[in-house]
Amino acid sequence: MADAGPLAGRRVVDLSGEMGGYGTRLLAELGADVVLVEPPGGLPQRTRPPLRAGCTGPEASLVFAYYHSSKRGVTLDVTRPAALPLLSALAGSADAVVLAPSRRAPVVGLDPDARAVSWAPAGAVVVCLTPFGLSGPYRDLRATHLTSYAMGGLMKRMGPPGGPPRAVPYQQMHDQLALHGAFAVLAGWRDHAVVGGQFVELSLHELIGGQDDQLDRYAAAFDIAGRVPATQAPPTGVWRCLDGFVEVLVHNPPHWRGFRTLIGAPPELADPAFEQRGARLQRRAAILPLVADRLARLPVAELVERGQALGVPCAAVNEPAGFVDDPQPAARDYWRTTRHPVLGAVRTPGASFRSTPALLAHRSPAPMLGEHNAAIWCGELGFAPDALTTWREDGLV
Amino acid sequence: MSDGLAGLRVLSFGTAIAGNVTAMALAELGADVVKIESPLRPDPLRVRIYPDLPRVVEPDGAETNIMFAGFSRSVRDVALDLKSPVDLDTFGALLAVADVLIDNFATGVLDRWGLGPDRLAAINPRLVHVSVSGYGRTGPKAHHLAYGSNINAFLGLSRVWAPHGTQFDYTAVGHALVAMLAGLEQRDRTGRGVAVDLAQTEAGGAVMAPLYLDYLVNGATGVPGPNEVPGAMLSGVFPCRGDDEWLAVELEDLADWEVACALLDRPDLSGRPDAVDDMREAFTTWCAGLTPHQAMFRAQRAGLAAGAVQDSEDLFLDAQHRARGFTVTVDHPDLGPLDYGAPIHRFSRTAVGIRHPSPRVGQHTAEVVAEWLGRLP
Repeated sequence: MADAGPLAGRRVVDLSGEMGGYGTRLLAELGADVVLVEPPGGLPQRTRPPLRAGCTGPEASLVFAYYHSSKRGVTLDVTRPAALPLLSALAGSADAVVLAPSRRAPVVGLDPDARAVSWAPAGAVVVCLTPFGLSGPYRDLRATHLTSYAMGGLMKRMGPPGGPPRAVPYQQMHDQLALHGAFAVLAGWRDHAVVGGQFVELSLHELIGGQDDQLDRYAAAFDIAGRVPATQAPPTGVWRCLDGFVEVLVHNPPHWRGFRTLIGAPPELADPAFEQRGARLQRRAAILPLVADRLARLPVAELVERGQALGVPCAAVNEPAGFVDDPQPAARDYWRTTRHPVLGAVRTPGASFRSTPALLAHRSPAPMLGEHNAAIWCGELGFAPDALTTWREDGLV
Repeated sequence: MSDGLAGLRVLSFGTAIAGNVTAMALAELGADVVKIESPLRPDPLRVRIYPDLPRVVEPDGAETNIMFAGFSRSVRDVALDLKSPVDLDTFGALLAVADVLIDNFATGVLDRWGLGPDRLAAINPRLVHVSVSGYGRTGPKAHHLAYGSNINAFLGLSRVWAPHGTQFDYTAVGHALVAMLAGLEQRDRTGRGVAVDLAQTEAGGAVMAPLYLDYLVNGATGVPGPNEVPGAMLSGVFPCRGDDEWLAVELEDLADWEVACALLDRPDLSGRPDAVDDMREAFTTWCAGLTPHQAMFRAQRAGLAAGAVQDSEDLFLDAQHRARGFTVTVDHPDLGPLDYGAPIHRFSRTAVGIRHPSPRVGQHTAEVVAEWLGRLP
């Protein structure tokens, strides 16, 4: 069990909701005091499936419970000018502020052209996550994880050739942006002694656009990359086996030699020229049926174990449950069971990375809607309980 | 402006995407990042991956290519053969004055060079070592080789999404960067080093948590269909004018549904959010006559979340990328000028940027040894 964590004593105000939640959660697991600020009715993510079976209402979403664990939570309508004094008070002693403003959920006090937030203290690192950035012709476009993935260029390469392109499910590109947001917070803190607070902007469109050498690949030859399976040199890809599927990646000559042995060294594949991907790509039509026939005779587990022993990068093509039930994460005690006051025992992925000494730890369940309003607005920031009542009646909190 | 992570000395054995891109991100924030490369077995990423592009060779004979160039900008390169006692000594001397070591070797490689955890800690007790692997350094699959596509399959994504090679390399990059700076915070507080065991399957499982939660908590094995966004009123892609042209649309709530009814001129669907098939048909009809960008701009003007499914050419020409200067040209000594995506972290006061093109094998050996150790190699 980690102690208070390397970020103990740091304070983070989190207005980044669904888009930035994974990164601020990591900061919280590292020991920072992260206060999630939600709209008075709760983040839309509070109704995002999957829900706890039999549960309804603002605490039912397992997704929300996962992404916001280890944080505290208050409610505040940050689209209204009336929120300004509360935000100033809340952020007064913050070391970092993380925002994810959008056309639907703007943040009062943010000046996108000046790259400044009026209520953030001068010494804070302010990180702003957006779909397209705070400038440029697309800055006000609406986006979701799905449409961002589509715009970013990666989606066109995914899915069956000729069929509809497919986006990676759920929200992992948001989580990747959130990770870079957390990294920016930590990097900003490292530079704090020199420059003090600053503003960091991160665009999801740029994060995705920079991946998989999409731009340089086009610039090099003006070729447009198609769906992934159409461009692979065999045997890289997914293969049907006796009792399931295996995925193989043969990148270099030793991988190929191991793979050839794995499938019984067929004489048709003895030519050393096949060690080069280009040669295999050229003879793709001849190689595919041969490999398919050999692999179809063997069970997945045996293929993976023997393949790995021969130095071939390969893995079972699991259903999601197959990963959950695999002995590897179990042996590493990966899955984590925590208690939530409404959801009860909840099993989730555990630490995103291991370390010696341990740096990450689950600190507390995700906040219930408005759970820390009284403790933070009144107890810590000194507002009168009457004021809290008025704000509630006014729909501000 | 400040040079950010300047003064931070990073040694990287990082290869492929996860290792190289992590090192590059640190270098472009100002860290002094030194890639250690074997002169006998250079980074596998250097080997030509696109058969249609010409083979390019550095003056000393090592290959290079656009992929390596795009993923290893701004780092310096020191050639060391760790199987040679002299080079191993040099590595030890560099490690003793480094802050961070990154590796994504197969499990056991560092041990074979006599660089197991105890030895690393003995050489540099303040070292932050970020070790990235497919399955982690312990457990029955610790020795399994894994590329991004293998991890994609293992996690269940090839089934519910598509086979893909790099998604979980990039999730590893984000985690490695956070783990490294968190490790440095810990080191600065305690004076003691940190060893990070980052399994790409575990970091990947963490960002794909929603895919597993229903099974983990409710025992349910259902998964969303293609482009289905759980909780949305409607989500998907619709074919547009042309071949393999698509628009992605998501109606997040009832307000969006009503906007869509007006946009598609289907008042009959107003107030009928369960008529999802009819709405899909309406989008299909509407999109058929429009290009993806026409459809996107019209839907956006109406107020909907819609995006053209862009390909690499669209991206190259993308008005947003051009306006924000995201596409930058770097002149590489062996590959010539090429366009790359710029570093994504836009700090107001920390200088972030491309320091120089990707290095040749051993290009900076003498320079780094002189700077770090005050001697000749």
